[in-house]
Order: sequence, then C-alpha cells, then structure tokens
Amino acid sequence: MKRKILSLLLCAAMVTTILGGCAAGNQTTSSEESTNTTQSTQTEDSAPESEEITVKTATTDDVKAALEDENSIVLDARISDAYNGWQIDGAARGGHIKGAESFSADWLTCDYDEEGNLEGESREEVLNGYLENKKLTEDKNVIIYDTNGTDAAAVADYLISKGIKNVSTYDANEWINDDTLEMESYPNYDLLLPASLVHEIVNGNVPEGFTDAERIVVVDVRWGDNEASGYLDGHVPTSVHINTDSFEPPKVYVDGIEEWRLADDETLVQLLLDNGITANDCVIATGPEPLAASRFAVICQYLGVKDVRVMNGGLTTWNYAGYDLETQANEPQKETDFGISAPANPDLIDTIDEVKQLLTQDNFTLVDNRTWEEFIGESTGYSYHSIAGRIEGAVFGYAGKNNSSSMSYYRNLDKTMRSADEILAMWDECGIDTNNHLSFMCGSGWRAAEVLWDAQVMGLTDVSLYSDGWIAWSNEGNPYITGDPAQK
Amino acid sequence: MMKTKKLRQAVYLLFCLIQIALLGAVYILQTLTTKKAGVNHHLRFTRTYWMHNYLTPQNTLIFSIILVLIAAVIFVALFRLWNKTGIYAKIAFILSLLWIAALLLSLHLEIVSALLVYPYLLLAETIALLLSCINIVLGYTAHKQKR
Repeated sequence: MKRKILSLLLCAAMVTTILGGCAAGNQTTSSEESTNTTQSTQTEDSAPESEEITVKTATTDDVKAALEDENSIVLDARISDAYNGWQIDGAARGGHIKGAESFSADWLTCDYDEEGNLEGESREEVLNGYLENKKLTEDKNVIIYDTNGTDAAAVADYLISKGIKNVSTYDANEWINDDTLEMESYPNYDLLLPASLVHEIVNGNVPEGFTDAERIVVVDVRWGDNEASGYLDGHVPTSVHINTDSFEPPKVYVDGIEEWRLADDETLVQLLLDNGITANDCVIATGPEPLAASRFAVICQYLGVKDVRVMNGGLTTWNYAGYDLETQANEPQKETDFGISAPANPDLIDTIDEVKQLLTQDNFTLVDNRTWEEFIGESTGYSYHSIAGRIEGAVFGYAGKNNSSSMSYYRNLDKTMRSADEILAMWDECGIDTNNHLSFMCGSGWRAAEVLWDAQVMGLTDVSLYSDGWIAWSNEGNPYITGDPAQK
Repeated sequence: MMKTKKLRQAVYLLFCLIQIALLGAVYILQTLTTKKAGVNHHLRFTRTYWMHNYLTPQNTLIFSIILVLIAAVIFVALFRLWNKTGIYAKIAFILSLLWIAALLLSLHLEIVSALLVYPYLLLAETIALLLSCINIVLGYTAHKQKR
C-alpha cells in the first residue's frame, strides 16, 4: 500500500513537473512573441517615417510646377554628357530639361581617390559641397529624373540619407519624347565627347554625321615617355601618346630660369605631323587628365585642325564605364604636309605683348584661373617658380582650392565639366562679363586651357588663352601686384 | 665616462646612417625625375637656377680648392694620428676622403653635372663630408677615452 501511495505521489510529482515545465515553456514562447511584437511594433512605429520618405513618382505636370517653384529643385541624375546635349541611352533628344540642375548618379560611385586627391577632400565632403552649392536643403522638394530607371533612384536614396524628405523621381523619357517640352543643350556640347561615343569610334563604329574630317586620330596626352607616363599601363585603344614636353619643351628664356612655355609654331606643326595629324583631321584628345587633353586640343585648334574634341572626364569616365584599356604602344603614321598655313587661328592664343595691349581695352577681361593664394600673392603655386602675385587688371576666375593642378571649381567629381549655369554664376560673382573678350590665364596655360575649352562648350566665341601665363609674365620682369583686391 | 663614450659611438653610427640615407634619397629623387612631372620640373628648375647663380665656373673652382685643402688637412691628420686612433676614426678618415673625391668628380665630370638631381647630389655629398669630419673627431675622442 505504501508502495502504491509512493508511486502515485511520484507520478503526481512528475506530472506537476512536466506540466510546470510546459507552462514555463509556454511562458518562454509568450515572452518571445512579446519581444517579436515589440520589435514588430518598433518596426511599425518606424514604418510611418519610412512611408514619409518613400520616393514618389512625379508626373510631367509635377516637373513643370517644380520648375516654377522656388522651393523645388529638378535634378538630372544622368551622366553629365546627357545633360550637356548628347543623346544617351537611345533618347530621342539630347540635353536637359531647361532649369534642371545636374547631379549625376555616377558621382556617388565613380572612381575617386579618397586619400590622394589634389584637394584632400573625401567624396562625402565634395558631395556636401554640391548639396550646399545647389541649395539642396532639407526643406526643398526635389524631383530627380533619369531615363534608365536607376540613376534617379540612386540619387534619391542619397538625398534621403542626407535628410531631404520630399523626394520624387521622374522618367524623363516622357519629357524627351514630347517635342513641345523644352530641352536645353550647350551650344557646342559636341566638343566634349562621352566615353561611350569614343568607345564606339575606336571600335570602328563612327556615328553618321559625327565629323566631316578625313580621318579620326585619337591621342593620349600626358607627361613623360611611353613607359614613365603610364601610357603603357593603359590608354584608350588606338590612341597615340603625346608627351606634353613635346609641345612645351623645357627651355631657358630668362637667365637661370627653366620654363615650360608653348613651343614655336613650326615645332607645334611638326609635332602634329609626326603624330599623323593634319589640318583635315578630327583629333580626339584623351588621357588620365582632362587638363593635358584640353591643352593639346587648344593647340590643335590654334594651328587649324578642322575638328578637335576632348573626351569628357578623361580616363575616369572611361574606366567607370568598364571599357578595356590598351597596353601596347601605337605608332603614328607620320605626315609631311599639314595642309594649310599654320596657325590658322592665331587669335586663340595671346602673347605677353598682346595681353599688355588688350589690357588697355575696356571690352577685355583677363581671367586669372589660379588658386586664391596664387592670385593674392601668398603662393607661387609651383615648386619651380619663385615669384608670387598677379597681373594688374586680371580678374580672379577660380580653378582649384588648394593645389595648382586642381580644377575642382570647373569639374564634377568624375572630372567631367561642371554645369555651365554654375560656371557662369561663379564668373558673375567674380565680375566677369561674358560680353567682353575673355582671355584665360593661369601659371603656364594648362588650367586656363581647360577653362577655355569649357567656355567654348558653353558657346562663348570671343575667348582666348594667354598661354605663357603668370610664370612667363613674372620671370620676364613685368610689373605685378599682390594682396586681396577687396581690401584696397 | 662610459656613458659619454657610448653616446659618441651612437652619434657616430647615426651619422653613418644619415650618410647612407642621403645617398639613397638622391638616388630615389633621380629615379623620380622620369616618373613624376612635378619632380622633374622642380629639379630642372633648381638645377638651372643653381648652375646659373651658385655653381658658376669661378665658384666651382673655389669650392674645388677648398676641397683639396680639406683633403690635405685630412691626409696630414690621417698620417699623424693613424696609430693613435681606433677603427671608428680610421673609417671616418677614409669616408671623408672618399666624399671629397666624389665631390671633386661631381664638380668636374659633365656626366654628373648633367643629372637633374645634380644640386641635391652636391648638397648630399657636402653634408656627408661634414658628418664624416665630425665622425673623425667623435672616433678619435672615443678612442682617446678608451685609452
């Protein structure tokens, strides 16, 4: 009997234990559910916020209204070549919606040397500068358009991450396909070629009507011989290497001072002939640095080459597009007859004496494209120049912030040309009247050549390059001034 | 006493290392003249400026005479002190004479003066000579202390 009672008690204890365990298990499950609910509640709590910043889809009427509204901004998220005027991705029309600003999705992810860039700025710092410059503040309504359905979304995500809440995207094909809606292109947008077009050309697919020149010669412009310059590490296929020392050889013009001025006309013509270029050709200037490419392009224009173009963004855009580089040297087929008497456009490059004469005229502006420190005489800008200051009468016109090789005020993050509206606004702030004849200058003509090219893209025709620049002016003992003009 | 001797030996070694580093730096600089436009331009500019302003034929002659005189002093000191010095001073004596020979060759060989790094080479050799001369004193005094 006692055994039975003990067995019953044991069974009861086991049942109690099992039931208790199950209850505990149930409690645990309830607790997990509770946690999940909390999480879920939290998610639900944040969901309304997500809904608030959900990217909406704008209509054509929304875009029209935004263009009229000062609290709204319309952004073009396509590559800057499309904004400039090229028909990209099979678009029926090139250019941008009039009044829209450029903010390419490529800037968010293109190749960018975060640590070794000339200005010492991270991508984020550069992009923050763009937000500030374009007045993209949190209270603005922003409509971002593209034609491929991905660029606008990428820019929208970025702007949302920066705290801009009212963001919509728009399929610009609707606008582009409607001929009644206005599009705007730069007058000479075709002076800057998209990497995709250069890629087509070097593969033998030259678009109909691209040029009426006899041949197309692609050049890669950079300092140094084939090996030292990096040309053999990779260049645009078929391109012939032009060493910048070949058009501005080191030479002593003033006792004891070596300089890199532009060579004489005869040398320049011979250089072109040696590289298979005549006046009847189309030259496409490429290279890692748009500075050097623009410099050579201006020389070609000056001598009278029929059709001269520069690849927008240099190798940065080429590489970002994923195109292959060629690593073997291309030997040019030398020519013997340039075809015309050079220089055919002598007014494109001003000499020191011409600048002195031009400075006496009212309708002339000498635009100084150097850093502010160089302009006010705090820095020479070069380790190979010892005089700091500026030419009296020159107007500050920006170039880079901290470095004499930088063009950050004239370029986007991917080294493509900055939008014309922004460049013109910058000039306006500097008091540069585009109705005047503008002669661009810098230290020795490189930075100014890129600005001159941009000016031509924007349609300015009364422009030139004072190529010898500050270095030659000061070395020759010409008068100069220093200091902040606003404090005088 | 021991402490001072060790300090002298440490400085001696440091100066030897600086001499090697100077040569290395000049070599790297010369290599960069064909790779970096900025280095190339800077060195071209500096070389032309120095050749025009400081390394004139007259100054080169004066510098050469000074070097020969220093070499003569070192030779005399070397013969007089050879048996009274230790290995450190002897090495410094020989290095000093080698630097003088290198400087004289640099000043008068066109193949050297044509190098873009030429002014920096002269500067490096001059500093190295100076350090070697100091090392003679350091080596000699350290040896004297030992005795």
